Amino acid sequence: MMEYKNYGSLTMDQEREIIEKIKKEKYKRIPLHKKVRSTIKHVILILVAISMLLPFFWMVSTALKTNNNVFSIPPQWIPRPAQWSNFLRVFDSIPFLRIIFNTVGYAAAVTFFEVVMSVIVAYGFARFRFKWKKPLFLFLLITIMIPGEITIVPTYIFWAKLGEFFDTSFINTYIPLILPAIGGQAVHIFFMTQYFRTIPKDFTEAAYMNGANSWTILWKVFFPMSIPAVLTITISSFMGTWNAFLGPLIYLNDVEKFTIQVGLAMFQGMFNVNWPLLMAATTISVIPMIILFFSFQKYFIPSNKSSGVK
Amino acid sequence: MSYIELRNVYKVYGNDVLAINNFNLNIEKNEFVALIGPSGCGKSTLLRMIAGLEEISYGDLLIDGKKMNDVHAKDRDIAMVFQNYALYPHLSIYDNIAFGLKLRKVDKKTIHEKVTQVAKILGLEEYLEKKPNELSGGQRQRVALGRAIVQGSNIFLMDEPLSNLDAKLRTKMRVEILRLHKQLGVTTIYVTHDQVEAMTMADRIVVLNKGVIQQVGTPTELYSNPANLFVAKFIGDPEINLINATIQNGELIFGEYKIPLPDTIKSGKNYEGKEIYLGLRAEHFSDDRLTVENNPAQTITSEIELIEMRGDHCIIFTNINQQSIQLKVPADRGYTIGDNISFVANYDKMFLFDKETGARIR
Ligand SMILES: Nc1ncnc2c1ncn2[C@@H]1O[C@H](COP(=O)(O)OP(=O)(O)OP(=O)(O)O)[C@@H](O)[C@H]1O
Ligand SMILES: [Mg+2]
Repeated sequence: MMEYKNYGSLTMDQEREIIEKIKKEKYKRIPLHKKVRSTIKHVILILVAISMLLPFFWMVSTALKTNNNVFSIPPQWIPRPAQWSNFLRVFDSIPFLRIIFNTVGYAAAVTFFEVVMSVIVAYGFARFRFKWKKPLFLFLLITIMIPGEITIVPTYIFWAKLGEFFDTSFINTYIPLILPAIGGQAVHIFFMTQYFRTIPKDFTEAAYMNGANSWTILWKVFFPMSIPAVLTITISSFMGTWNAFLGPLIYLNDVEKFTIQVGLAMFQGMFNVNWPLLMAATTISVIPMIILFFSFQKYFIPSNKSSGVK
Repeated sequence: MSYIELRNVYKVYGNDVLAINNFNLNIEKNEFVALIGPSGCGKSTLLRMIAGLEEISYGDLLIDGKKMNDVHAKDRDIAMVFQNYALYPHLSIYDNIAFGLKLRKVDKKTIHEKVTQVAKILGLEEYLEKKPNELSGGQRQRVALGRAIVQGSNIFLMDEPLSNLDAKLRTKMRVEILRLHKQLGVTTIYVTHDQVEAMTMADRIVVLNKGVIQQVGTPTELYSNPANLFVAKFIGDPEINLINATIQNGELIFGEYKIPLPDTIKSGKNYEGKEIYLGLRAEHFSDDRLTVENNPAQTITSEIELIEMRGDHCIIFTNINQQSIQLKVPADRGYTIGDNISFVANYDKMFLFDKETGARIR
């Protein structure tokens, strides 16, 4: 195909020329059915992407409408005039700022406990030998399979009775919502256990020979080596808490204590829904999620060159 | 008293794996000892027991006269280089080298001095800020060495440190490790399953099989005076030629060939009429024309099946009585496959082995 008299090292230009030629050849050699298949794949992906973005777009668009033209026909994709004031009215109609602060605090606390405790428990499962390890791990997996809705009533009664026992009330406080996070989170424990198991023994032993104990090895070796996994569970915890509805709805009574999801529900009356305000509030509520996702996106896409072990 | 002493050391895994069986060895200060043997023979196990990563099931480990069985790994004055290097991917090369010192709470200034000094020894100065994944295999290997050196320990343990490198780099790092050993004078125990590595690097070699020491000796001793069939087969490239032979009336008979039995053979009478192995290394044959012409009675002629070119010499694959053997001849002989080759064996150098026990009988 190509001939070069020069058998020594090639110049940069020659090299680039060869690379270009090979690329072209390669494309030519891709059979037609593969090209067609690739095109179809892309079209499908684009359609899926659109179908995901469309509701999002509709949300923002509705947030800028007046109550009257929400369901106008034909549908208005770009409302005119845009009611930017809807965003301010959200803050007037309910204590939305307060609610946001509540949610941030709630989500941060739960996330902190769930991540730290899950990492510690997972380390135990991944690195230590102890009696009943397998049954315990199995038990953990079983708890994942029980839907939360089943346990919510008994749990509520438990907290109510516990309050009575201590001569106080845990209802209408954040305690029943935050305290259970101290046990970690079953799915996260499972996930981190699997991740920790892939870390070669050599790393542990090298640190051990320098006098590191198990606790030090966890925080100086395992934890930093598992940042992508830790970020994954962090975001998952944060999103889960941010979007939690049933728990906060059941335990919290005062508007002042509400979280965002419960706050959003306030826009849906029994008979009428204030769509523009609901959508404006929803838009505000997803902004942190979007920021979170895009800032940590690179950690989700696995890199294959991160290991020090060959 | 030797620097490191292993006395009647055993290792049992679980209930039924005897990984190390009555291991006894004395290692002197500054010595470079290679532990060699096939996969699963217990090399890593032994090294890890010395390091303190594995409990010693029975027996004693003494370092500098002190019993070490129950001393924590960090207090044994030992640094270890791991097969997979175990470089922390999230730390820079500097921090990787400094990791152990930091754990030992050495002050920052001292750490900086030591790391810089080690980086200089290993030629890693320009890479200190990089992450392990930005380095080549050889450079990573050097960082792993640096991490051991920086601790200033008197003993180095290395578990197949070069096995992840390609052949050329391996040769280069071999020299580099040897140079370091000369420079630092650190007592080194080096595990490998590559006999060339062991032969070229070690002061003494310990050959291990199934947890049992087969022989301890200098490379030359192992090569020219193997204790048994296992060592003879394990050491040397190409592998030693083993020819089925029988002892009868003071003669060694293999096929149509008969040679007088040397009188140095141990308990020759016991082997009367029995099959044994005649061991001859590839270089114990000569196809030199004068030699062949002077020994017509002992000349063996057979067909060449394969020729392996090795630069200044080549290995000829041929056979004696349908038993394949390999001969080492100068490269300029101009043989081709299918030619006949005439050669004479140097029987003064022959080894004889008991076929059943593998014991050396001459
Ligand atoms: N943790 C363990 N539990 C049970 N058996 C083990 C354990 N570690 C090693 N063994 C067994 O002990 C024997 C020796 O293992 P070891 O790792 O020391 O071999 P090795 O000589 O280092 O082999 P290789 O060259 O493959 O590294 C093997 O039979 C192995 O299966
Ligand atoms: Mg090993």
